[in-house]
Amino acid sequence: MSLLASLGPSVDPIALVGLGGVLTALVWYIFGTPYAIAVGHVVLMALFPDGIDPLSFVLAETVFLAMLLVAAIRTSRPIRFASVAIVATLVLAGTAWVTLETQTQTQPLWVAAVALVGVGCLAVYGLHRYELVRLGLVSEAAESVESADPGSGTDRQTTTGHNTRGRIRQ
Amino acid sequence: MYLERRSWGVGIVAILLAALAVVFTQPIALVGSALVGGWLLARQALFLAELERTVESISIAQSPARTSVRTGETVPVTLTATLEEATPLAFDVRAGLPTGARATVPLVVSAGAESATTSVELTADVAWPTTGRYQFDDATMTVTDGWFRETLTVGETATVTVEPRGTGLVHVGEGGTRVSTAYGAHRTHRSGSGLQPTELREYVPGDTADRIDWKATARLGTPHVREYETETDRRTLFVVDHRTALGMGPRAETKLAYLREAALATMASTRQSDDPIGLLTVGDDGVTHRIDPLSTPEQYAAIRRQLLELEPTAPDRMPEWTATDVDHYRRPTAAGFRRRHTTVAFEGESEDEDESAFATALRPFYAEQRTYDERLESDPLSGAVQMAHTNTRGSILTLIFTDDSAPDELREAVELARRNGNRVTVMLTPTVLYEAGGVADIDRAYDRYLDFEELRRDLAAMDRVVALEVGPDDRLSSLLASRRADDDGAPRRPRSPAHSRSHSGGHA
Repeated sequence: MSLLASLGPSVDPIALVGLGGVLTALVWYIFGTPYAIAVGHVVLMALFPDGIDPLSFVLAETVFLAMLLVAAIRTSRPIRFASVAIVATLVLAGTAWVTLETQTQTQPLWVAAVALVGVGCLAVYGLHRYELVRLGLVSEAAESVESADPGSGTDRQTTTGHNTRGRIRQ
Repeated sequence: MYLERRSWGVGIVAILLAALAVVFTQPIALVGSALVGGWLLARQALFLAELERTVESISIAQSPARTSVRTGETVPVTLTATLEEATPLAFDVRAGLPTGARATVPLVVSAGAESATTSVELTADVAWPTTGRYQFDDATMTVTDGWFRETLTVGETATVTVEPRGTGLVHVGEGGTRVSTAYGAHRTHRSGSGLQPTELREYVPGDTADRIDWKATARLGTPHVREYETETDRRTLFVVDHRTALGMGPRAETKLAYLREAALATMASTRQSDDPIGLLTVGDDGVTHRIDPLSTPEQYAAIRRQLLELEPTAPDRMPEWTATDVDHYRRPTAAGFRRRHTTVAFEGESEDEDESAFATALRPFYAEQRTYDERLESDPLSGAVQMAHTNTRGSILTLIFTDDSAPDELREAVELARRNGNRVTVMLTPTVLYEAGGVADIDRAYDRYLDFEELRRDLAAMDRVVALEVGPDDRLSSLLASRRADDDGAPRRPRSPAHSRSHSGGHA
């Protein structure tokens, strides 16, 4: 990023964009989509140190979105993958945006970053729990605790174990 | 669900982008973080969908070749994983072998990602060294797409019962037909004091008044006396042959093992009758143990212990004696017997050599404890019977437990035992039922069984002699059943040796 920033004043901006694009494409080819997206955004940060204009932003993010869709095509369930990726991205970005817009503190960006990472982690864990339920891996013991104490509200302990379909190893 | 290393890497990249956004105050990096996070969540959702489909379509079976085995046996176990449709996920399935089982190779089947394989199978030999009932755990399946991993248990289980080595159902009978009892109540045919009434007769002078049956006298009008059968004890001598030939058969299922079971069962009947019993055990070179007939509880316990400890002797393997050794062993003892150590062949050892540290450590102790009470140069069985009867007064029932490997000597022994009006019961084991692959050739095995049956009938034809066969019920039944099947379904027991032999010849 510092290299691109140092080249900024002396080199043609179009050449810089092209260089950033080639770098991103190289990382995409070698390391895959998520790393290409990361490198691409670092390049954008370097190319627009004072903030990116809306048109450039839309163009750049369209390219990254296209990379996501190309990745989806290579999976066994492209539509499912693409729809989940787009929805999840919108939710995470929306979380950050809403956080930024509603914050009144002097340093609002770190709160938005924490909110984004936190929601992302919760989503990963939520899918994990959803998997346990879908595959019937929630233990009978946990179910019996719940059925024996139906009025205990939201603070219920759930453990993984075995049921009629199998057992999970933790 | 576990994140693989690649997923951790992508997650860290997303967090780093968020950190860069804060450090450089560039909100656009947060968008990059959201895109990477979205990509990771999409991968996770994709894995979940494929995992669910794979679990629905896979069926796993753990199939032991047999569900009932003997201790120490090895049984092939097949692990099969079958998919209704190919899966893009890679998986491996590990069999849930019980703790007590030992597999020669890890029982794991696997299939790579994106492979078109719909069925994988592996068979491995599994040893069962400990007796018990073992239930397989569920098979453990680990599924991964390279980004996420899940381990779960699926499939059917099986149960294997490991039974201790030993004799199965013991058949005691005649010509394949089981007899209900070989030893029981016995008539003396003599009148006297007792509890069992035999006859009512008229009073004759000389009968004491207390012998008059007053009810019969009142009913018949003249004095009558009721006779009772005399109650006596029947002295019984168990002659148990434990020579080398008696060690034939699989471990713990030798001829001697079956004879031992028969002897122990007979001894239990003897004990119920409170009859005095004695024991004579015969090794390759003479009498190894002798207990004179008594009916004390200690006697029964001693004989039972002796029977349980009995192992087949081995023929003398003469060591390189020194002159001193030879003099020592040939010197008569104070009792007038020549005693000498002999070697012991453990049951079934020849077929399944036990070289474990435990067996190696114990073998010398067992090998050294067997001694001969009296050495007999030739025909030890008949010699032992003769010796026993020479030293015994009065009538005695002799129970001989041996096999059919030395028929002439056996006939001589029976002749000696039935002298002086004595009764003899012979328990014989047919060698053909104990040989490795002995019943594989049905015609040949049946002919050999007829030879045995001929010997048994010869012995049973003698006065005061009962001859019974002792052997594994399953092997004898399968031999006779196979033969019956060959005879166009006509049920047939060996009725007479001559008839059976001609029939067998005709069939061949």
